[in-house]
Amino acid sequence: MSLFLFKPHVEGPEGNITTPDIVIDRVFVNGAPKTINLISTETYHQVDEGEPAYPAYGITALGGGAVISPAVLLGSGRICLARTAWRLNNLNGNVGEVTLNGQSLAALRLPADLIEAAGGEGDTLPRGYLLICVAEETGAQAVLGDRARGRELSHRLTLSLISEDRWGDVRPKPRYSVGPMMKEVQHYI
Amino acid sequence: MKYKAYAATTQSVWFSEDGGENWNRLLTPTGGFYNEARVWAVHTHADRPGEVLAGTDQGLYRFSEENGRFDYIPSPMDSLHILQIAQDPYDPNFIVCGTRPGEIFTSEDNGDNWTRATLDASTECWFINTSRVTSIHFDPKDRDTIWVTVEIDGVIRSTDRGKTWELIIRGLHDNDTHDLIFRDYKDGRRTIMCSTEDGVHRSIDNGATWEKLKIPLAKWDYFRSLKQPAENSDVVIASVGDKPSGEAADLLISCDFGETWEICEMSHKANSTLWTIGTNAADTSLMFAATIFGQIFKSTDAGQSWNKINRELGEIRMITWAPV
Repeated sequence: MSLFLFKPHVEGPEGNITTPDIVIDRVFVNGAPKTINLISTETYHQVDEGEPAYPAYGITALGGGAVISPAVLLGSGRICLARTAWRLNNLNGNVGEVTLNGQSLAALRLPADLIEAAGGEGDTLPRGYLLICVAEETGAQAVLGDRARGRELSHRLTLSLISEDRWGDVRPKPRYSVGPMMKEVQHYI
Repeated sequence: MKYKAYAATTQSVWFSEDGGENWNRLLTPTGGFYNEARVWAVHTHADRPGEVLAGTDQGLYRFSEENGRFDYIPSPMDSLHILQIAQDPYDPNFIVCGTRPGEIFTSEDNGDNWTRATLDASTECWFINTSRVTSIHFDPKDRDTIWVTVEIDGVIRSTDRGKTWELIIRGLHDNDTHDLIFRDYKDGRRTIMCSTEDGVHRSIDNGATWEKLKIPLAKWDYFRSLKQPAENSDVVIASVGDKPSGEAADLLISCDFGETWEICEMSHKANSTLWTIGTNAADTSLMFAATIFGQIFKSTDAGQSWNKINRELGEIRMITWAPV
């Protein structure tokens, strides 16, 4: 019954932006099914020292045609999806010229091939599907480039180490406020 | 002067291009976010005409006249409620956001990178369960100092641009704080006023101690917004209501920075607490005020009198205006 609610800002060819709410309940990374509980659209992540990050792109099923978003896959398996997207059918047949960090998607795996392998056709995917294609290079930033329109979608993760503590050695204890009472009250639980 | 008014509501951001008579939202297919997004904050900066930052329940957004839409700004605040936004008056790239739960986030590069401040606000509250930031102010004299009010925790101050913070509540009758204003005199004296759930408090020692002001004509204690039409002005407009969300409210005006007050003339009774007052130094006679339940009042005489605009919106959390 798990689901992930994806709220991408889908940028159209005229610069308009729509923001559909998409329920994702199946995700595949390079064709292998994964738990959708690994998906996140947060851009700030804690990682282990040395944990790699891989640029990627994702294809999400949507009523008006699937959308493509930059993504980053973390070594722990987390699928970090950008909250931005283009609609595949707005790329005017030049998907092969779209790049991920400068590399043609054709050199990775074209969205049409991913969609076909997942049982879809054209820019139509089975409902609730997210397909992730991961690049071999490492890096915490994924930039989709649409050379035909001279535009980009960028997704950059800010990574901090699990061992870091922003409070240093003086992390305070959680505090309790009583509000307008301004006096000690019995705890209400 | 051509200007736009902006209202942050529980149904997105509303724009008025005709002095508040008519209000519209951006179209859902083009505007950048859902028209029922909850928006708590709209913020403009004098150096960026036409730009509006909006704090929502889905993250931080930037509207520009050039793009005619809201653009999403990635930040660590997507899952929080962004209630307050401030920008350094001298550097709009320095942005401070306050959230629910009570946290402060800062960006020194126009929102590209964010730091979660070590703000030790209360983590649980008997009265409202979760604390929240109710106002953020750059100190008018010291650019490194930032003041915030937190409901329900008090006044919290940083003197190093948000890196460290101290709670300053000595003398406050109530830590349910809402807003701050500053008056710096030529002889070096400073007076600060703080609105709270239990009246207005004043500090004459830069926040070290506070005392409750006596405002006999105020019908209620629940003070919300405090605004000076002009920076460092003796003129203060205060909103006060019976409670949150309330059923009645007044606007008060002081021309001697809180020593004496008068009740502002209002064309209609307020239907709930007056939650927000919008001023802009570009025209100190023009102001908007809004009740939390959707009434909008406008003043063109520096706050002396207020006329209700026919149009009402849904729940309004902030109203402001700016030249475009």
